[in-house]
Amino acid sequence: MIRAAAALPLALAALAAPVQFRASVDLVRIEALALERGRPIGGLTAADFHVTDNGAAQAITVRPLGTEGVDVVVALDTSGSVEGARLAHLQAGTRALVGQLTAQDRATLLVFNHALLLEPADAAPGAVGARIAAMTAQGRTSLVDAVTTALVWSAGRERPTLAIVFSDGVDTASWTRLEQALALARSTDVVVDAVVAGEMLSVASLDPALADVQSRLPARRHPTPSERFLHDLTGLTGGRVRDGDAGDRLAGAFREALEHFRARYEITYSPTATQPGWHEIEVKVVGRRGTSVQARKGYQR
Amino acid sequence: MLQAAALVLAVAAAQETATVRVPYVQIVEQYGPGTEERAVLALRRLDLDSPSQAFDELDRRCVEAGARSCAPKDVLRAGTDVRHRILVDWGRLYPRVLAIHIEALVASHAVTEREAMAVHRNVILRLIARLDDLAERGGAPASFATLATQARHVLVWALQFHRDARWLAGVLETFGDAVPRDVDLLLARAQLEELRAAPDAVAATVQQRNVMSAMSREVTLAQEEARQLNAAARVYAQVLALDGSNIEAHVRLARILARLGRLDPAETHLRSAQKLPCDRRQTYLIALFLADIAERRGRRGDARAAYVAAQNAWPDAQASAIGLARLRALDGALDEARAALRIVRRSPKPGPLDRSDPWLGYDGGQAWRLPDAMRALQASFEPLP
Repeated sequence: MIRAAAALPLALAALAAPVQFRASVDLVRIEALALERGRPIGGLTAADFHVTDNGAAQAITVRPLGTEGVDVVVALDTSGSVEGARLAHLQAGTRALVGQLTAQDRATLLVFNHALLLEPADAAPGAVGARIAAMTAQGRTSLVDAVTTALVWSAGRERPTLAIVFSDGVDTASWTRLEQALALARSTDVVVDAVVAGEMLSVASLDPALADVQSRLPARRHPTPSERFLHDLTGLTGGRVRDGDAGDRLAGAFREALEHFRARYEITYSPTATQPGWHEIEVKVVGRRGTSVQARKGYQR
Repeated sequence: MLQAAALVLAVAAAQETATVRVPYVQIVEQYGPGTEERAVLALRRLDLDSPSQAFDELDRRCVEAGARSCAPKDVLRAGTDVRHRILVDWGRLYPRVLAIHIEALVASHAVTEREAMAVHRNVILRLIARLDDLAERGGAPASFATLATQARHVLVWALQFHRDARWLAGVLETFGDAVPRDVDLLLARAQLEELRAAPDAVAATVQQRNVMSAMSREVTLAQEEARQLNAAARVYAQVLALDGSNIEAHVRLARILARLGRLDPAETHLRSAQKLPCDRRQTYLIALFLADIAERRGRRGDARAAYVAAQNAWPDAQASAIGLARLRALDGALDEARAALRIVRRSPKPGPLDRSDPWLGYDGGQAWRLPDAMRALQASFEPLP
């Protein structure tokens, strides 16, 4: 929801209050994806990365996530606009995603329209199937509440955690304000990927990597905070927005989100500076041209 | 009574059953406590395409009773016996006509059944016009004027249920002079401005006016939203000028002022409302909104306490649970944060949004009053002969 301009300074002042997370107190953990021409780069070590925290270089340890067990939280918009073929694609795509999980992984399903249902939670992947089959599409969209719930549920875990959010429409029913959800995202180490369809594709068109979407849709000029929400959220957490408009794309987007997560490196360090406030993180791959890194933008201390 | 969700399902099932056409008046007479679903399904099977179809059948009875026509002036000029017979018949039928068309309006799909919805709305508007005509001419029982007032209220609440700003605006315009004198209609007028401040409505207004060129889209939309919110605030202030103890107006005005960043007057209105005899729903919303104001001021502890108060008032609500969970997470109390989410670990209660969380029904204005209003309407039914 768009806030009146007059309300913004007060809201920002309130959000500047310090927040703490277990994972951010002594050790900073980043799940970083190194890409070369859009493809994950394997076989990197600590010597290949350069990490700065508020501009200061850090001594890091690096290990690939590889086949280690991960936690995946899948938040699915089942509001009225999903009714019909899109719901069937969503169910098939989610089944395909869950089918890729291993016995070491844990899955949480958060189904939302105006109301939220987080069930099953931290379950064996096989336990999710019945809930996927029971999904129906109706009602309005509490996207920001769902993202907030997914972030709270995922926060501060020892295991690498990926949250995948699917939506095809802007928020119409949430209690949580956009800036509150984004403030929470700044404080967590969970990676959020968004898969969008329908009117939300205008969000995808903000991402320069999605040239295909941009050829189909004109990029949204001057998007509102509400329209930018998933773009801002994924950018903050080191994830990205994916195009899920067609059936195979939905399954493909889910599959790629998980594959790219498993291809990440866990980078950890004890920050050299411990002053409270926002710590901006920058992660680079050194000595290789044409590479990019997706990682969270920083953390609140 | 007004079990819209159940009714929608029943309607879907009934669409596949064989069609048996029952006369309109018989269907209206069939409607009553416990028979709502059957009556509304029968009404849907009639597939009325204009309000005249309904009134032609209704009016046949008064012509048969001996009136020249069913225009109130002719009925009131008729002989004593004829007039008495007709007014008694109308006293039995008209509350049922109102109730069944409200039920059908609420149970309709807001996108795919617009034509049917328009017929239900127009039957009610025509009924209100006749009741007003009767009341203005004198000689009819006062219950007809009361029914007209009830009809105006339940019609705007039914349109609020569908969040239908365009029809709500049209109906309130039709009601004309009745609006500024009636607190409940004024509340609906104010809520209409709130609906116009919703993001999609604001975007549509700005696009229509084509005022985007000079400023960024975000600023233009925020200004338009503020303009609509201020318009709503003015009408709520008008309600409070008529009735200073109107809890709904205090609460909704406070919410608007908070959205506009005017936190002091917002809190004042919520504190004023707290001193009035609030029901559970109002207690919940007041606490929820106080939590938001406290957080906007950076008083996270007060916000947490207010969310807990909201949970105590409405334990099944998800908005307060998510608010509390988020604050706990920001404080680093992650176990407590996850525990606060227990309400979203189980399926929400079926039925109207207000039943699981009044926040979810908040932009439906006073639609939450429909079930009680329909019960009152049914309680007023005169027995049929």
